[in-house]
Amino acid sequence: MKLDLELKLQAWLDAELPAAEAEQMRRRAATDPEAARLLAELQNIKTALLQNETTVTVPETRPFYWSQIERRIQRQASLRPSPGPSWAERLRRWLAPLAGLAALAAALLVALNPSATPSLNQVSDMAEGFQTRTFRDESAGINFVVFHQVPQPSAALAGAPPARIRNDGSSFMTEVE
Amino acid sequence: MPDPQENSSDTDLVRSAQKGDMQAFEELVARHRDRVYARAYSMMRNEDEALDLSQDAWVKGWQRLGQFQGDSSFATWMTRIVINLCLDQLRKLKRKRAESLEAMAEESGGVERQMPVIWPNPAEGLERAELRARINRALDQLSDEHRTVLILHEFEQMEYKQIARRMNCSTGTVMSRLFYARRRMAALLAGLKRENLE
Repeated sequence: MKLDLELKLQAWLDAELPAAEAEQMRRRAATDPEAARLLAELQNIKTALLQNETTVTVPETRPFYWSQIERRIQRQASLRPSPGPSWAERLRRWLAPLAGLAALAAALLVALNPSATPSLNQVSDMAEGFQTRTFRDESAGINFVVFHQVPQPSAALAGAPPARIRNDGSSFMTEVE
Repeated sequence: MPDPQENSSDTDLVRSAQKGDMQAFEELVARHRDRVYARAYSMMRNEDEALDLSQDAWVKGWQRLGQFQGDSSFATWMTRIVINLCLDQLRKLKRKRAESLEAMAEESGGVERQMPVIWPNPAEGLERAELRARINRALDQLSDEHRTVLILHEFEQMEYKQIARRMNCSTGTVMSRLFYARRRMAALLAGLKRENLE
């Protein structure tokens, strides 16, 4: 018998043949003793397996088996890379230096030309001996303080070094050493 | 004090586990661990590997719990996971193993095609426990490919196409492997029976 026919007989047994071919195989098995014997052998094995799968049980106790799974779950969880920064965080990282530069430019503008009206809202004006102006950019959430040294004939201040700009990441200020 | 989760249905336990309830998941493991382990053992024929792969399957199950939609039973879903892990492992082992001429002949079914049809039924007249033990021993002697196709078709009730997809081969290959596996099983059972009678 050809392999092709043997496989078709088996496919018929497994109900995997389309109706027309299934009918052909049914007739073949009814008229060909060799085909019928082969079919019987395949059927016997199919039935024997179907009804007699060996039952096996886990050779470990429930707590021990679970503890190993639990440990693997925890290990896997610790190996997973931490999720990257959120889009808001990434945007903030991009915008923070830009906002800083903008604030610095504004501060310099005010420092170099104190008579110019700042475009930002002044929230305080304090200190004696220094002219101090604090500005707040609400949209960027940044405060910056500008110190101006009021010209005085003081000996201590006469030799004071020039103002230095400090950037701490969220606010900008000039200070006198 | 009885565990309140013991009386919960699988569906309720899965729902709780999907929300992160590890105790619910532990109860699911306890209920279905034998089935998952048994499938791994039937494919790998090795206790240590079966234990390792079955535990890996539970870890994967926990990680993918969100994907479980309830289209099949939870036990069936878990069994599919362990089957896939076993197939991956068998592929790895096959890559490592040098293919002998004998193995190639078995794969092509050279021996099985020459065998006479086994008659009468080799399973006839055997006690159930004895027949099971014989089937188990015969399965041990099949090649990984033949045993796997038999297990997936007869025990997992998969169709040819499903098996082909999982085993990464053609439907024709599945058909021939299944045919040779059955013929070899018949010969092995008949041989084992004769051994017993002598």
